[in-house]
Amino acid sequence: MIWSLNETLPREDIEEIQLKRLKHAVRNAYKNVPYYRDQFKKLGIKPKDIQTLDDVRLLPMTTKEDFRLNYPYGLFARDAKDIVRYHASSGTTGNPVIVGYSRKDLENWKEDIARIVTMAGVTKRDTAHISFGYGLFTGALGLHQGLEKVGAGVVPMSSGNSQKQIKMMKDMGATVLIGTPSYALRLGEVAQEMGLDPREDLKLRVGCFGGEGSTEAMRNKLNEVFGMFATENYGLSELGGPGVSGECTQLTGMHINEDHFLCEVVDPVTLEPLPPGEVGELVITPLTKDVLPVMRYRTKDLTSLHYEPCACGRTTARMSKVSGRTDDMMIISGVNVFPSQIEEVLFSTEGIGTNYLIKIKTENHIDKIEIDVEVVDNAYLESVDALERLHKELQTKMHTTLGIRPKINLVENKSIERSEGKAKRILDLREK
Amino acid sequence: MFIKQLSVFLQNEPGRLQNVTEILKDGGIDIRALNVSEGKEFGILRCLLDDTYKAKFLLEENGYLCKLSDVLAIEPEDKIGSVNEVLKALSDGGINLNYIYSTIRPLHEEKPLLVISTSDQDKALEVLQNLEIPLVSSKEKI
Repeated sequence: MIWSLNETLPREDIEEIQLKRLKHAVRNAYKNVPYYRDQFKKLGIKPKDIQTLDDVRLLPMTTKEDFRLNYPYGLFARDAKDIVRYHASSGTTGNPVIVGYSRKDLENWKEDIARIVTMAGVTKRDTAHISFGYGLFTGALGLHQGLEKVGAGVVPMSSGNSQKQIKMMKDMGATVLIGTPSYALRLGEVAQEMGLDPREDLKLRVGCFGGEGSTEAMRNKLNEVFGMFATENYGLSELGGPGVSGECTQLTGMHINEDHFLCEVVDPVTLEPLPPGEVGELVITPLTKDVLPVMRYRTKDLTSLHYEPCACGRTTARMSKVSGRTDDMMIISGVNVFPSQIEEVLFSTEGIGTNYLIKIKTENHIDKIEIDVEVVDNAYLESVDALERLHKELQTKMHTTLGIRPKINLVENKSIERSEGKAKRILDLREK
Repeated sequence: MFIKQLSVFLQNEPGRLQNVTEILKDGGIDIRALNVSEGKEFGILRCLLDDTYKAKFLLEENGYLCKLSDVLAIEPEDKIGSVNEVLKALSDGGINLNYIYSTIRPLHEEKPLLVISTSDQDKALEVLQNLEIPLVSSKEKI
C-alpha cells in the first residue's frame, strides 16, 4: 500500500514541489535565523539567488558542530510561542542537539512516518511494540505518532527490562517490532533464554528498525530469529528524527520523502556533488521545517542515490543502506575500515554470536585492531581443533574483506556487554 | 556403557578456569576428573562430575557455553603395563584417540579411572569390552 500520492508523482512534479519549498526554506532561514543570515552574507548570496534545484549548492553547509556552537536555540527560526515539542540527540559528549517542533512540524513528521511504516507493510490491523527508549530521543515518539496515524495499535514499551518486553509482545500478540536492530537481536536471545521460540511463540510479522546502521547479514539474522520481514528506516535528530527515508517491501533501498527532504551526495573531502549511484556523504536540506530550517546538513553517513522507478509503484528517489560513517571509518595501518564490513563477516559465519567488540590499540606506534566475538555453538566444543578452524576461518575472511589482518579473540558466550539502545561496537584504546 | 562428560568453552586468561570451579563449588558439585585442552587463546575444559546435569544448568545460567558428550571410562589395575594394554587394544583395532585423562581419585580402591574419547566410540567400546578390565557403566555413581 502507498500512503500518499506525493510518493508517486512524476519526477518533474516532485522537483517542482522541491524548488518551491526550497525557496521557502531559504527565506525562512535567512529571515529568522541570524546565524544563517551571517553565513549568506559571508558567501555573498541572497535568497533570490536560489532559482533552480542545482542552486542548492550555493547554500552554506551545516554540521553537528554548528548545532553545538549555536546551542541551545541559535538555529531556531521560531520562538517559544510557536513551539509545541522539544527533543534532543543522545549527545554522548558535551551539549546535546536540541530540536524544536511547531504544530505543523509535528504534522509533517507524523505524515513521513506514516508513509514509512506503510511501505514496510504495516497497516491499521497491526499491533506495534516500540522498544526505543521514550524521552528526549526522537525515535520512540516519532514512530509512535506515525503508527497511530496509520491506525496501528501502539504499545509504548520503551527500552529495558527485556524479559518484560518479551512477555508483553507475547501476551499482546504484537505483530510489528520497532527499535534498534541490535536490541531486537538481544530480545531474540532473551526470548530463547526464557525457553520460547520467537518464531512460534511471538506473532511478529514486520520489523521497522533504525537508530543505528545495519547490514544485510543483520537483516537475515533478524528474519531468521523472529520469522519476520525486517525493514530499515533512516533519520537524524538534527533533522527532526526518523522519517527521512525507509524501505518498501521490494528492499531496493530506502525511499526518501522527497517533498520534505532534498538529498545530495557529495565527495566527503572535496564536497563536490557526485552522480547518482556513486557512494559519498549524504547532505540533506529539510524543505518544510518551521522551527529548524537547516541548510545542507552534512550527515556524515555514506550512501548513494538511485532514481530509477521502483516496482512498488513509488517514484521517489532511494538511498542505499548506509555503508558507513565518515567519522566511524577507522584508519588502520593506512587502510580504511568500516565496522559494517566486519559485521558482514561475523554474521555470515556459523557458530558466532551477534555481539562483537572492535578494539583499536597502539602497539609499538602501530595501530592494531582486535575483534572479540562470542562462540555460541557448542558443536565447537568437540575439540580444540574445531575452535582453531573457526578462528582461522574468521581470520581469513577478515583479511579478504578488510585487506588487513585483525586479531580475532574467541570469547565466552555472553561476555560482551549488551546494550539496550545503540550498540557500542568500537573501543578506541589508541594513545591520543 | 558410555558416561557423560561436560565440556566448557574457556578463554585462556588468568582466573577463567577458577571462575568455573567457583560456580561448581557454590553448587556443591564434586569434580571427579578434570582436563583442559588448550589453544593459544582459548581452551576446552572437560570434566566428570558427580552431578553433571546440575553443573551444566549452573554454568549455562552464568553464560558458559557447555556441551555434554559420551566418553568411555575404564578401570585398569594400578600396575605396570595396564595402560599400555588398553591403548594397544585400541591401536590394534585401528582406533584413533582424541584425548585421554584420568580421575583425581579412584572410584574403587587402587584403581584409577581412565577417561577416553576416540574417533569411533562404538568400536572402541567393543574392543574394550573384550579386555578383562572393567568399564564404568553410566548407571554407576561416579
